[in-house]
Amino acid sequence: MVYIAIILGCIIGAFIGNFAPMISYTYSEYLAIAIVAALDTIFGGIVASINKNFNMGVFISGFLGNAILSILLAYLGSRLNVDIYLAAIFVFVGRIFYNLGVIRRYYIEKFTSFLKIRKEKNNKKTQKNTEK
Amino acid sequence: MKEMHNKKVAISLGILTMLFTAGTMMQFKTIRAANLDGTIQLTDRNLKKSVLQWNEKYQESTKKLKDTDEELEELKKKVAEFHIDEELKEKIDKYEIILGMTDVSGEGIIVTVSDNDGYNNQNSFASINASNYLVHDGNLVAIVNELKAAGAEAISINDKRITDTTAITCAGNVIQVNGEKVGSPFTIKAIGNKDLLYGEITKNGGIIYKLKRYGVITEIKKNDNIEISKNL
Repeated sequence: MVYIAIILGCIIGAFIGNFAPMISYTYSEYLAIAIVAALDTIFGGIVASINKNFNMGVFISGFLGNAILSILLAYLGSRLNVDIYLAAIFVFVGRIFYNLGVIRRYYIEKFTSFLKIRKEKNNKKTQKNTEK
Repeated sequence: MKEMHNKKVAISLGILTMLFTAGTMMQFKTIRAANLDGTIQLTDRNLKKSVLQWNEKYQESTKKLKDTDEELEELKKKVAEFHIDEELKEKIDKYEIILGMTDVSGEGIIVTVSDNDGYNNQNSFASINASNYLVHDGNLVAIVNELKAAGAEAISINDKRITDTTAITCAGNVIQVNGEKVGSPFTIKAIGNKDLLYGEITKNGGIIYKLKRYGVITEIKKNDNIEISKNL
C-alpha cells in the first residue's frame, strides 16, 4: 500500500513539475537541497512504516525542519564563501544509505523466512508421501 | 484501526513523494534552460577566482613599486648630501625630465583637439570623407613633434607622459599611447617657453592649421602653471 502511494505520487509529481513554472537559476541551489531533504524524509518514512512507529508530527516537522535548516545553511555558506551546504548533503545522503540498509535487511529477512517455510512444507509433503 | 494508520502513512508518503518529484522536474528544467551541466558554473567560479587573484597580485606589485620608488628617492637624497656637485645634479635632473621619471611643473601651453561629431559643412572639401574630421594617431605624433621642435621639456597626452620611447598608435576608434587607450578629446600639455610653443603650434601651415581646415575642433591655451606627472 505504501509503495503504491509512492509510485502514484511519483507520477502525479512528474506531471505537476512538468507544467510548473521554471524557477530562476539563483534559487535552484536551494531547491536542490530541499529535494535531497525530501528524499531523506521519504526513506525515513519508509523505515518508520516498516518498524511500525510512524508518527505524523515527527514526519512533517522533520521534513520542514531539515529543509529549512539546510536552505539557511546554504544561504549562510554563500555569504561566508564556504560550501556549508555540502555538510547538509553529507548528512542527508549518509542517512539515506543507512535507511536503505535497514529496508534491505528487513526484506531479506522476510524473503529468507518465506523460503524456510516453503522448504518445511515441502519436507512435510515428502514425508507424507513416503509414509504412504 | 491498523488499516487507518497504514492509509495515513501511505497518503503522507505519497504527498511527499509528489513534492519531491515535482521539485526534481523543476530543477531539471531550470538546469536544462541554463544550458549547462554544471560546467559553466564551475568555470564562472574559476574566472571570478582568477580575477580576484590577479587583482591582488596587481595591488601587491603596485605597492612594491611604490616602496621601491620611495627607497630610491631616499637614496638619491643621501647621495645629494654627500656629493654637492651642482653640475652633476643639474644633469641628473635634466635627464630625469627627459626620461619622464619626475613630476614637472611650469609654464607652457595646453592644446585640446577633439573629433568633430557634428561636422556638416558641405562647402568644405573635408566633407567628402568623414575620416578627415577625426583626430588620428599621425596627427598626435605631428603635434608632439612640433611641440618638441619648439623646445618643450615635458609633454603629456591625456595625462600619459610622452618620452622618447613612447609609441602613439592607432587602435580602431581609440588611440594607444604607451599601450594605454586614450580617446577624444585629447588634451596635450606641454611645458616650455609658452610664447615660443604658442607661436610654433599656431603657425600657418602647421599641424593645427591643417586640422582646423579639415574640421577638427582645436583649442590652444597658454598657462603659467602646468603640472605633468611622471611616467608610471
